[in-house]
Amino acid sequence: MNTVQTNIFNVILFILIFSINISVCSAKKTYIEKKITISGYVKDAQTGENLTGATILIKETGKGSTANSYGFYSISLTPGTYHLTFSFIGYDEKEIEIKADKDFSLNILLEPGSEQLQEIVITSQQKDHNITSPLMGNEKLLSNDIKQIPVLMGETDLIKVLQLMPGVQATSEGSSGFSVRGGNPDQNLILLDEATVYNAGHFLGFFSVFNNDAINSVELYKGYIPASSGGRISSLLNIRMKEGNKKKFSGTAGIGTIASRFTLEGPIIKDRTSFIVSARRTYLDLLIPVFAKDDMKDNRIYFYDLNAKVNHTLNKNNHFYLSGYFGRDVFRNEFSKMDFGNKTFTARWNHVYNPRLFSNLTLIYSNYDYGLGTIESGANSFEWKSNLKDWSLKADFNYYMNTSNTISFGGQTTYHDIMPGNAYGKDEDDMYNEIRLANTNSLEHAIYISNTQNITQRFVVKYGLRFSIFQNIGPGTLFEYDDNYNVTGEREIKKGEIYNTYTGLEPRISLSYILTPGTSVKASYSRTKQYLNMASNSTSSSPLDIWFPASPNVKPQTADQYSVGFFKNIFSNKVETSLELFYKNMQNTIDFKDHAELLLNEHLEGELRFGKSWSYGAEIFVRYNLNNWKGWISYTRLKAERKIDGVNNNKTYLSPYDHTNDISLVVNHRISERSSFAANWVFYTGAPVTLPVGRYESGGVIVPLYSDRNEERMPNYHRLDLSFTLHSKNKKQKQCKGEWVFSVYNAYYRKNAWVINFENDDDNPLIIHARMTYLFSIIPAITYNIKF
Amino acid sequence: MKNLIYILLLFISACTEDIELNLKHTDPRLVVEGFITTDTATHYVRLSKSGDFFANEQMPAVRHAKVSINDGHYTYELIESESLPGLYLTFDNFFGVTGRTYKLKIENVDINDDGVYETYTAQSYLNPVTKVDSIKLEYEDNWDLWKVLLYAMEPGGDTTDYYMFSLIVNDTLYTDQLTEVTVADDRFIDGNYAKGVWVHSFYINNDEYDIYPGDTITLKMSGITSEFYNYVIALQEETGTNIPLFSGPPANLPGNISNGALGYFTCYSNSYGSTIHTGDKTDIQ
Repeated sequence: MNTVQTNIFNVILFILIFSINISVCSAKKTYIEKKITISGYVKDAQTGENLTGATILIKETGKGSTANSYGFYSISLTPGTYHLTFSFIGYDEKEIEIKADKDFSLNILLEPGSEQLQEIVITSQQKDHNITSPLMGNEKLLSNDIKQIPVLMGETDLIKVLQLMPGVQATSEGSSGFSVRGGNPDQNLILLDEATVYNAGHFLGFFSVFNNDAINSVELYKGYIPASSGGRISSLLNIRMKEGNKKKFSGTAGIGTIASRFTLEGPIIKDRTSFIVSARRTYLDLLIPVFAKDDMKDNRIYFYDLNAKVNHTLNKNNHFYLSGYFGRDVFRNEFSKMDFGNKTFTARWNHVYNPRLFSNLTLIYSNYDYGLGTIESGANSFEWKSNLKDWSLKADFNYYMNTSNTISFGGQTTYHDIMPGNAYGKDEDDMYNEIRLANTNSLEHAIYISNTQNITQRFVVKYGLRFSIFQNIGPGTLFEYDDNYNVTGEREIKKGEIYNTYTGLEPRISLSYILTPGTSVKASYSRTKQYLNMASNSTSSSPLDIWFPASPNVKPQTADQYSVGFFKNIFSNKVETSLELFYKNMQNTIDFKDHAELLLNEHLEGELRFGKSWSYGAEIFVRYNLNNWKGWISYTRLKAERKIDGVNNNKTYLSPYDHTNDISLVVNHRISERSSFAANWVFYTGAPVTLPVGRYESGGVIVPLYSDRNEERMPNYHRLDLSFTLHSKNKKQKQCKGEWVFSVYNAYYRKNAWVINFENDDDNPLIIHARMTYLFSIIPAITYNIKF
Repeated sequence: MKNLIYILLLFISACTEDIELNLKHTDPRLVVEGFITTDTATHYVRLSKSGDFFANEQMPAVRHAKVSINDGHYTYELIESESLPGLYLTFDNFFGVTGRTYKLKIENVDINDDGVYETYTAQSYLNPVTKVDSIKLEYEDNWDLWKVLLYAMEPGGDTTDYYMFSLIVNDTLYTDQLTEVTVADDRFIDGNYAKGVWVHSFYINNDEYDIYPGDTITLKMSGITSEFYNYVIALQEETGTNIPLFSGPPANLPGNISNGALGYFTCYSNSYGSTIHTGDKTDIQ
């Protein structure tokens, strides 16, 4: 057995031993004492929104519990009188005395804290949650935190804020693509209300598709990925949309430098049914006629987003949620057009079987598509389309076995239908052939079980096992390739024929041990598999990137990640510090051959090259919350390498996302009741790049000669952003609350190289100049937001 | 597409600036450039050396080599030009024959200066090309350029055909660099009649076109090998502007010369079509 298999074996053994341990314990207890279960929802008293991850502490036993992602909690107690404390970040703590003599349900409403919620930069749910949680490599952000960070053109963007966290980095300047711990952007699973978002960028990636006004919270998992999720090997980004105010109508509107936003939420039936609708649109294109030359007047360039959600409480045991996202980018000039966007739809049914068993059934649809072509019809007119559709059914259960064990289990099945490309002429008597690449259809199934176990008050273990199955299903065309990636044959697959199956066992475990109050050590291991990959060989994603599935020619990517961490809070939890070390080993890593042709290529699999990759590093994180000063410092040290057969002469080379040093400083200072100031500074080592080592003449031009891939680096990157927020006066009395946000991106005008090009001298073409392009000078922005 | 990107870059105020770069050095390598076509003419093979990237001068010619071409029947010795060093010439009645494989052999060169002569070889198959029936110039208002439209029968068949299009204005080669030719495969048009396919363009240059009414415009359509097609695509990529959103990592061109030499030796057949430029912009079919 090789080491990986040994590891898996050990982990499975470990889980088995624990499971036996659990059943023995619980069996014993049932005989000895009767248990009372108290369950219910923790909600915001003003809006009725569920408070995901609110914590419950039982004073008498010192034990606690956490509300699940729907705000549901369940605790089991021996009969008696107890004091329960419910808490959630930014809300006033609530202590309740209960007399436990029979099972009952108890919904808890928490009042938003007297401490101004808006001013909180970033904090975890409970004061020492970072110490006690069994998770590591885990970051949670609330919508209000995100708002405070200065960003490009004032367009609040959760992904830009995540890029300031340790281990997370923008794939290129200003991009909403991100790399986690040296991984590829396509190795991040991005879920919006459980639906996969396949291309999270607007405007060629400069803005993300997530409109902050519609977002409740964001959670990123870099290390231990919960067993309930899978399909990507780097990270899970779980984004939850707001549910809508159940008590009263309210809304927000904002006018920014490039886009305007409008959100309305409120009850349809008070306390039972509510909705939220949020829209955003850019208006750059409306300015074009004012500033542009005549021949550009018809140019259009804009994007919009629409988020909508309805939720309904049928009774205390049944809740329904419907949510959807629709967004689109449109570019258009007189001659050509291009548009692309995501659509997602999620329907959920929460059902409480009994106070200890909570279930959620989810139906998901997700779609990404793009189209481009000519405007006018004519001999040379054409259209080109591609799309990807997912249908998915998911069932999740939380079983609150006892105070020491919370078990989650469930399953998911997804049908992926990808149309990689279809190009055709538009003219009636058309001379062009239609090019239609065969659709690829596949099924992805998984079942999982995991347990969060408090072994002692100080020692918490979270462990789980996910079993995934991936199947390629007809109709389709299967190409066979030889060792030189030339096509040697093809086979037509009949409709419904399953012609390839992969299975994977994905064990995951995370342990935390509290050394002293305020200090803990943690360790985790996580195995993940990835069956869908993105065909992109540029470092930033483009709207034309298509996804392709694992197949007989493409083995699933696998990652094993090991991490350890040390967590310490000082100044009574006002300063949180942590050090995490990780090592990630990945098999069947995909890269692309030199000058690969990835678009409209039915032999795409022949352009792929396979190998292995690994990354390791350290992350230091210091978060502070001192009087009127809040923020964090993060430092990441990273090495990420690959070795791919057929790339770089089979030699090891750096991943394009290898940034040796990466520092982010975030400061938020409350100046007065009405005003606050924020700044962030980032620095990272320039990305690896391939530069010429020589020149030669061919075809009448000077051709660069390269040595090894990614041997050189771009200049180091650094940037300072500032913002100042001014709230309107007398907030308490007025119905409407307004605020001005002034921000400056790249405040000291650092010219950060986006790309280096080589250009021939105008007078003497034998002379070559190295010329760098920088995207942004100083970019000021003003945003006005109003809440009503 | 690129047009749209430039509009976008304009909005985010992108700027460029010259920078100093310290690049590494490599040892010089032999660079070969050789073409065999179906035209009856003096054919040449050019030999030079590679140099430092910022050398900023003409690359040195490789002289006194023994260069020969074999077509499977006969071996032709090429003779170095006296006026243009590094250029090795055939007689002026030389022409390639479709369906033959041509082999290039270069001897008597010592690029690495170790006192031992090296030998380099390469080979290429000469593909046929379909006949150009006619061509047409059409003004494209939106992009302010003259389109060159092709009328010809694409032969179809099981194999993919690859084409290179060059322009000749009044007997002078207008597209004299490989960055200026266009290349295409027959995916979109396989087995169809090309009824005015847009294959090339005359762009506006300093408010003027390079062509004038009365000029004879000739389109040269060449049937090239798939290897050369890939070489031209890669050359155009590596010498063009790199946009991170769309460009893959830089990589060396896929040449076909043995022994670590750079450059290319390839064969292709030519077919021509001409028209007189009227300058009439309203002449839409």
